[in-house]
This record gives sequence, C-alpha cells and structure tokens, in this order.
Amino acid sequence: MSDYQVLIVGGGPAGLSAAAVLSKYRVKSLLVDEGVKLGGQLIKQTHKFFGSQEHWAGVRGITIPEKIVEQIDRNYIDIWTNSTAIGIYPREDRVYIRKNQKELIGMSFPYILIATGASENMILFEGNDLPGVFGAGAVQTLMNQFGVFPGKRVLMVGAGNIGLIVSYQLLQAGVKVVKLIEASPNIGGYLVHASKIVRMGVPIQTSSTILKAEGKDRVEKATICKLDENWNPIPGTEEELKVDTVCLAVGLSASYRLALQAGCETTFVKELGGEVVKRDRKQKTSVDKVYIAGDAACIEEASSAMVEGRIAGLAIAQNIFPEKAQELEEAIEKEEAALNKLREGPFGNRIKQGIEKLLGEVNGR
Amino acid sequence: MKDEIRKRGYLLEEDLRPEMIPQGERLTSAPFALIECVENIPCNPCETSCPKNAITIGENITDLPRIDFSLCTGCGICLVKCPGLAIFIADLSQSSDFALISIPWEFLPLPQVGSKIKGIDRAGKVVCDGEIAKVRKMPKDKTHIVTARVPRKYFNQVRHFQIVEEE
Repeated sequence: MSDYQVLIVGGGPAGLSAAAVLSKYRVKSLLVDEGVKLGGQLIKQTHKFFGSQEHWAGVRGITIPEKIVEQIDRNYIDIWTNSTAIGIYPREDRVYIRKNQKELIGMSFPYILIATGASENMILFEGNDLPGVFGAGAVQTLMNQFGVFPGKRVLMVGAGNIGLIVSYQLLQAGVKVVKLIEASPNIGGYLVHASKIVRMGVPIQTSSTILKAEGKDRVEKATICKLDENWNPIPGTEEELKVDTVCLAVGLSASYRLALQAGCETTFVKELGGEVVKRDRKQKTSVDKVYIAGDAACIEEASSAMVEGRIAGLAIAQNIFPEKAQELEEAIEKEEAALNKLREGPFGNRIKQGIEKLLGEVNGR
Repeated sequence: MKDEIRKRGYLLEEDLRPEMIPQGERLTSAPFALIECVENIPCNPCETSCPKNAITIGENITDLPRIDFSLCTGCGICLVKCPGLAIFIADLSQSSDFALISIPWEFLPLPQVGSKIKGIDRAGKVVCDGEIAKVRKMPKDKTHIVTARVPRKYFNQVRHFQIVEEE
C-alpha cells in the first residue's frame, strides 16, 4: 500500500474539486494529471460561464482552476502534473503511473476516483487525415493555451456549444470562420452563442455535412453538401469552400478505459450519450473502491463536474470516517440539491432523465 | 417560431419579446437596456448585477429576465455581465436623427472614437453607416462597451459594428 488513501486521476474541475473536499477532511491523497497545467479543459475556456453566482456565473473558465487549487490543502494532497495513470490492474491491486512521463511507478490505493474527462469524436470523410483537420479541443489548446494559430480560414463542423464557442474564440484570435455547418436540422447549443457568431459574420448552415477535405500537404479546400430528412447527402447541393482548417466539434465521448480495466460495469443510456459507467448517486461504480465523476461519468458541463467531484470526495470520506457519516450525508444532500438546480431547464432535463434511468438500474440490482 | 430560430441561429425582430422594449415616452427619455434572451438556460448575472434591481429572473434561474424600464438607467452593467453577450444599450434621447447603440466588445484592438463603422444587424448584414462615439474599457471584466452613433431608425436592428478600414 502506498501512503495515500485516495488516487484521483485527472486534475480538471471534477478531480480538483474532489481534492479540495478530501483535503478538508485531511484524507491523504494523490492527484495525477497528464497535462502540463492543472485545470483540465478549464484552462482553455476564455468565455464566461452561465448558471448562478454560486456556480461561477459570469466567471471566465480560465480563472477557475486557481480558485479551486487555493482550496486544496497541500499538506494532505500531493499533485503530480505531466503524469499519466496508464493502467489499473485489479488482480495485483496496482495502478501504474508515469511520473513526469519518465519514471514508471506502481502503487496501491484503497480508493480511486476516475475524473479523466472526455475526448473528441471523429467523423468519416475523404481527407479527414490531412493536416489541418482538428478536433475543436485541439484548436482551443493551440490558440488559448499556447497562442498558436491552427490556420487562417476555418470550416467549423458542429453547432453544439463547443462548435459555437470555439468559432467565437477563433474570431477573437483574428481567424476567419468561413462557415459553421451542422448535420442535424437544428442548432444544438445555446441560441445566444449562435446569435453572437452570426452577427459577427459566421453563417450557420444546418442539415449539412462535410463530404471531403482536399489539399496537397494540408487542407486547401473542403466540400460540403445539404442533407435530406434521412440524413443522406442531396446530390447537386455540393459547395466547395476555400479553407485551410476543418475543425470538428461533433461531440465528446467519455474517457473511461481505466474504469473498464478496474472491472467497472457499463450500461447504455441514450439520454446520457450512449454507453456510460454504472454508478450510484454517490458516484460509486460497481467496483466498491472506484468512483467516477465529471465528463468521464457523463458528458455535461464544468459546473456539474465540480459538484460531482465534491460528491465523490464526500462519499469517499464517508467510508474512511464512519463516525462522520451523518455530517457527510448532509453535505452530499446539499451538493445533490445544487446539481438538481444546475440541471433545470430543457438542456438539463435530458441529463436528469438519463441519470434517473441509470440510478434505477443500479438500485434494481 | 422557436423551431425556425433553432435552424437560423439568430433572432428576427418578430422573435423579440414585445415587453423587452420601452413604450411611449420612455423610449426617448433616457438610455435603456435591450435584453435579447429568449431561451430557458440557467443563468442570472443580469439580475444579480443590476444596481437598480430593474431586472427580475427569480427563484427559477431558467426563467427569462424581465425588465422594469422605470428603474433602468441604461448604465450598461448588465451588458458587461451577460455571459451570452445578449444585452445591448440604446440611447434615443440625444437626438431625433441618431441613436447611440452600445454593444459588448471582446476583441482587440479596441476601436477608436471617431472611426467609421458599418452597422450590422442580427443576421450579420450591413444595414447602415455609423461612427464610434464612445469606448469604455473594462480591464477587470474584459467585456468592453463600444458605443456607436447610427441613424435612429436602425436602433432595433444594429447589434454589431464592422470597423471600416482606413485607406
């Protein structure tokens, strides 16, 4: 056994929030993050958050990580950045971590929180392997974290919040967003995000998809077309766009391979985006010592990731301090109420329904 | 109506809530905030930031904001605080020919007072000419307020400015 009670994999909003809670209860924990800078996706979110005051409304995502880190008592929490948890081996009761991407260390932990977030989906089209085809997250990393232009003329694919927001951030960097296309008939993201970029000169075209990207050493042009009500390309509607960058914002998939290695069960819940790791209301998976929170549990928002991280931290503390069970249960219920409030409205309702289904299944066992 | 907005991505004048624009004398007596928020998302910085308590959302933060124009002074704080950049200030009190329209601006460089602009509508189309009248830099918030003078009849159309490059 290592010195640590808990391993937190991932230093984004969920992982950092769990660390803050665990340090408050003086639970010695190790947080590992593969990034060079703590904060997960928050470090690229230059826009202002929505929600209520208690949930960082009006605050820019980039300023949030340091605020959470301030709450982490470093006497109890060790943080290794630039370090990847590469595998969980339940039979040996070991987790292997590449510390500073050099030293391979195997350790045991009584509790593990998987807060590894999500990764970009890919769509198939001719030329999708050309330099200049990026996931939206990669474009944000290049621009917002490292100050590097991805290109100068972009076709944005996807009208969810990520596609809409990254288009705006591209405009702020001085990049031309030639068009934003969306395969479904409707814009999936917030209307205010869409309205903003339309008045700033980015046309949005729904029921459209990309057929191919072409170019010699990188993207030089892309061909898009309209889709009929059966999602089939309509012949004759092809349009060639002179772009050097194709940015794909076509959805995220939870990164939970570590959970699978640990033996956690999954189940299919349509409302939560597909296959998700089964977990109870305290973010505990089917493996008693493994917890999951944030986008790794289900694609949602930074604000809900923070609350889920806190719930997981409190639940783990409940196991370690049975004498504080009541106090911690009340704290968990407060966080659950906050989560419910965050999930109000048409966007949150789908998640609520999905989680009800998921918990129903978990409790039915 | 809502279906079309979800395909288009922007609002037409007919999509705006009629109660969100002042009536009668109030329209021309002093500046006022135009809150173009039509979707139920959990969000309330406009309500919490208004120093005159002119904006109400209430307990359920997914409700749409309502504004009391008798309390609104058009100060612009809500314009700065709105995460959706969906609030604008219009001032029709200065002249019968011109309106001053203030928009949120999160670009660098900031425009220069006196610069010529094209007034852009919600669809991204040029509707008129104008001129930058005022620039208020908000160094802490980083959502700056840029005000332009445009022909008064376009006050409910102009929602963005394109700076005309000097030759």
